[in-house]
Amino acid sequence: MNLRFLIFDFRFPELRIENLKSKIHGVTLVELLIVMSALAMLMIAIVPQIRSSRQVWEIVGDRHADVLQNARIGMDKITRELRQTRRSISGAGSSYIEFADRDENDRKFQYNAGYLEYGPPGDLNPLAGPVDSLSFTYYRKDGVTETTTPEEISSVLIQLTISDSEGKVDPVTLSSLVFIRREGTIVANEIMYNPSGQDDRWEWVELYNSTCEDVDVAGWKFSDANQTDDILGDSEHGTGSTVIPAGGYAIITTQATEVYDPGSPYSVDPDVIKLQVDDSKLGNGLHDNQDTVTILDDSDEMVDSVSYDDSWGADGNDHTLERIDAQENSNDPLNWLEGPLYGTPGSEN
Amino acid sequence: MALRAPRIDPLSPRGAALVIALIVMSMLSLLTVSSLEMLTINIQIGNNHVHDFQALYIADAGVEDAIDRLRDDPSWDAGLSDVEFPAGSGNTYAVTIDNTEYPLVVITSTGTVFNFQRSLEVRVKITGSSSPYSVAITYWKET
Repeated sequence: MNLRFLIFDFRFPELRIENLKSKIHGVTLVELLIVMSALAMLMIAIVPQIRSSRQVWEIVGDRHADVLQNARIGMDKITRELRQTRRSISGAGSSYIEFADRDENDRKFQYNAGYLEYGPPGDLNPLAGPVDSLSFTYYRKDGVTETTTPEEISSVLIQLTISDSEGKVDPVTLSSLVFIRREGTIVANEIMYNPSGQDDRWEWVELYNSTCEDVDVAGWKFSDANQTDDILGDSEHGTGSTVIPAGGYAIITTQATEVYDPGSPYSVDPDVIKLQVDDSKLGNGLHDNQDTVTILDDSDEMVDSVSYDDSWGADGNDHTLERIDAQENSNDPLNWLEGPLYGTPGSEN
Repeated sequence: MALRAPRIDPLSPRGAALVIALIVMSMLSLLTVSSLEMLTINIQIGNNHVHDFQALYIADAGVEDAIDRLRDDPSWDAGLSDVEFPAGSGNTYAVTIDNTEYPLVVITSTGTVFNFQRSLEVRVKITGSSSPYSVAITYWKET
């Protein structure tokens, strides 16, 4: 700024440096000190801000991504595995779930010591973490009633909360829902356990094939709580076939049955597969108070089992016990109701 | 005649440092404000990202719900509107069903978290003759 005066210095003697120096007082220095102080205070105020914003920038950019990635790995693994399970859950708790994967291997997800763990039940390994919380909530078919009874579980609500290992970002909670897809099976679908007439002639059990394929029950067994019988094709009243078509029904009677006789009060679908046990009683005769009806396959593996008692209804009044849902728990009284007079043998309940 | 010096007081630059300081302070203030603004925006982006993910998984729950209903009743096409999930969270999913090309069915599920929405378009093929019907996923698209 003073250059202009210096340039013209030779023309204006009063502007010579020595003259200027003599006229400039210390005011600018004071100003400078004030300004420097102000700047110093300003810098003290803003440098931490800028530094912290840079840190948060890094946190938001990197750690948020890490946390989300971690949460997604955990949630994807849980939902994918549970959707592929081929049979019901074997263990259910609020912080763990045990099930069979699609290859029928036992697997478990569990929250333990801040980590989501996964693997065979006795050999779990960390899958994702640190996890703040992992909760499983199980619902019955109605989607409202909670349960932890494995056979009753229809859907699972999974809530996974994952945070940053250094606690620098807010925890992230992901929620999802999985419906357990049980494979269809053969189930005891209707039971006439206490007819008004002679039990060995009028007792019968209806089977339902809820799979998408025909199922041959040759070599299968029927048992009550006391005795096991072979299941045979009934060539006297039916074709003798033991193949229950997909979505079809079969009736198991005794060899002394009169269910199909002319004048029988039962209206049996003529196309139903007719089966019989190897003697004149279902087991040792289905008990009127309580009993257990069990179906075993040709490897003696249990396919279905129902433990009823007379409080469920159909106690000596020529009504049957009818199953409500083939996919739901066989032993849940709420899954059974008293059917119409003489039931619906060979037809949908 | 001697030239007179311009009427410029050489002592006037006394205020220059203050002016410069004010300019520098303004610039630093601007820097601070913009830095804080960037920080705020970035935190917002992070939260948006989280809500986006949450909405995606909620949409996923809607697809599961729809598939379960189709397994019971393949003709089900009523869809679902504003199902709160999980209960009490305020987050919702809505499902629409297009079964005009049955047994190929298109399930569109939209998850909503605050104002964030994510949709899933899932095409399934239904087979079987009785409940539970088989529902096979043939196409999955996140939108």
